[in-house]
Amino acid sequence: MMQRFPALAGFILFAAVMLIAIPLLLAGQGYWLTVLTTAALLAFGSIGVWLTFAIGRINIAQGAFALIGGYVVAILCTRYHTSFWIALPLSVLAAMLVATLVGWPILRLRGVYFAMITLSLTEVASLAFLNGGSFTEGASGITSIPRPALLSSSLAIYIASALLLLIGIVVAWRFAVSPAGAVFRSLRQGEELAASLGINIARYRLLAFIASSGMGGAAGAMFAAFQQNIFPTSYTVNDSVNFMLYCFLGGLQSVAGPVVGAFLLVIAFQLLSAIQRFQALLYGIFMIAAMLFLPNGLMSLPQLLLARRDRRADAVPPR
Amino acid sequence: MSLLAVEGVSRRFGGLTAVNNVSFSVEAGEILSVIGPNGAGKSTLFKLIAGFLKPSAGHILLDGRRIDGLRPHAIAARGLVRTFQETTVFREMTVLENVVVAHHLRRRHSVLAELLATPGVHAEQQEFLADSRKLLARLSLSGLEDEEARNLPHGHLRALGIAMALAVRPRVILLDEPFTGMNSEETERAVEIVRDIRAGGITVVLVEHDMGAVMRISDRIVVLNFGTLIASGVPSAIQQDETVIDAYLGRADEIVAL
Repeated sequence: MMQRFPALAGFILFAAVMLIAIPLLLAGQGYWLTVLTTAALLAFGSIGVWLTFAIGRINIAQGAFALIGGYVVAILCTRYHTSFWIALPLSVLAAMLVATLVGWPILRLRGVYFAMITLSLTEVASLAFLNGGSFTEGASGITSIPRPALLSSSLAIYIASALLLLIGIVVAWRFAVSPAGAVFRSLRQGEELAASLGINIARYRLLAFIASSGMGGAAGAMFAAFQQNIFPTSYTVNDSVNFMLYCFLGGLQSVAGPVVGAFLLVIAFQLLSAIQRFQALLYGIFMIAAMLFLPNGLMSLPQLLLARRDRRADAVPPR
Repeated sequence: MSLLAVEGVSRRFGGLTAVNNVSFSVEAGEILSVIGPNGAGKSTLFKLIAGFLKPSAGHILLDGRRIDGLRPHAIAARGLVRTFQETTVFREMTVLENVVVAHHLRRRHSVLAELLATPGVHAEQQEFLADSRKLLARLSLSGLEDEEARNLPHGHLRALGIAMALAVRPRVILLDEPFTGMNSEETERAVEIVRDIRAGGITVVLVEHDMGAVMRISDRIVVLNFGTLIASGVPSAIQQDETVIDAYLGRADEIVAL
């Protein structure tokens, strides 16, 4: 109970900042709205990756599913003049369909083998869209994607992205505390034991991967609509790795981890752009320091500080 | 008809035959032990029965229906559950969470209903919690509910593994070395637990090295040596069996002081 209350309070505060404070304060600031929209969508995609971490799989394929989501929206909206609001769920379905077909065989792999094959999936998706001929427009990508109805301003797109993220957090959070979430965690800690207790491990692994990829597809679809273009290089292996890093940096213990990680890294990267030459260097040092000193992510910082205070209190000799 | 029947089962790994044409059956309500020297194929046999390996030849039947070739979760759903030789539990969960997760096969609601936490889901969770507490009490683990499983000592871990297997409400439970690494007092308690499981109407098949416990607890014993079944029968007959004595039990006059 002690732990759940601050989590709920933290979420309400976050929601209030996202939906009230930021629109009020930054309504005219196109640049920062863009940064925060990016952070919100990347955070949403990272929640998906976090779900696959929950079953004990390092997923570096999220870029591939973002590409799929983006291209589905791009092709439907430019060529078939489909409404974005119809294209968005279709893009999620497309990502989930691909995840089902690809996930079934590769989810047998564990550890670094699964990580490597998902990494190459991102590359494969990028190459597929590059070589898609007139269907995907090759390297020149698809541009001039019309703005979705209702989302004509940066502020509107920001609010839609923030809402999507908040919904994603609530669903993932409910899931984590539900019996199915406990089954996910059990897979991470012992697939053979889980199987011996009657858990269909193949089905749950696939469920996690499909949910994750659907979220990647949705993030990609939103990005395509918001940037109004998509290229085979819109998401590279680097982006897939970043989705995973957001989870690591924020911490895997709760759904707040990937959200905190994504926001912090996206905003830090923008702030560091003032010192262009050293941007990557400082970014790297920051990541290494975080992994060295906070192996359980930034979300473990309060716990660490509390533990240290308790130790100090204990160290006072009784009189 | 036997509850569990192993019919001519073999398992080869490359050129090595780990289990060679083994046949035996287990009657409902029985405690049957599988013994044999190290490398006799006992663990492989367990993996074959529980579906973690597929036989190279032969059939395994539960209630007259073939279960060889089914995956472990499907075999568990038919009512046969194994425990592990290593003290395998979900280490990062609490003791109570471990047993609650093991109720998986009794979940009746969709993932969507669970997300929405409908009243039915809530009631079901309460039922699983109450049942888990009862199982923990039965295995003398009361008071440890909120402890993280990785902090438990060996003996408790093994008891927790059994509590989790019982949560599945199996008809047959396979216990992999339930007495190994225990002192005589712990073994005594574990023997009582196994008897209690059988008293609850569950058929027990166990692999074990501790001969004293095996002889006391088993209704029948099956002896493996180099993957082949060399004897089966009641404990007193096994103790007198010449082949078994030569292969495994040894003779009093052969014991050499070290």
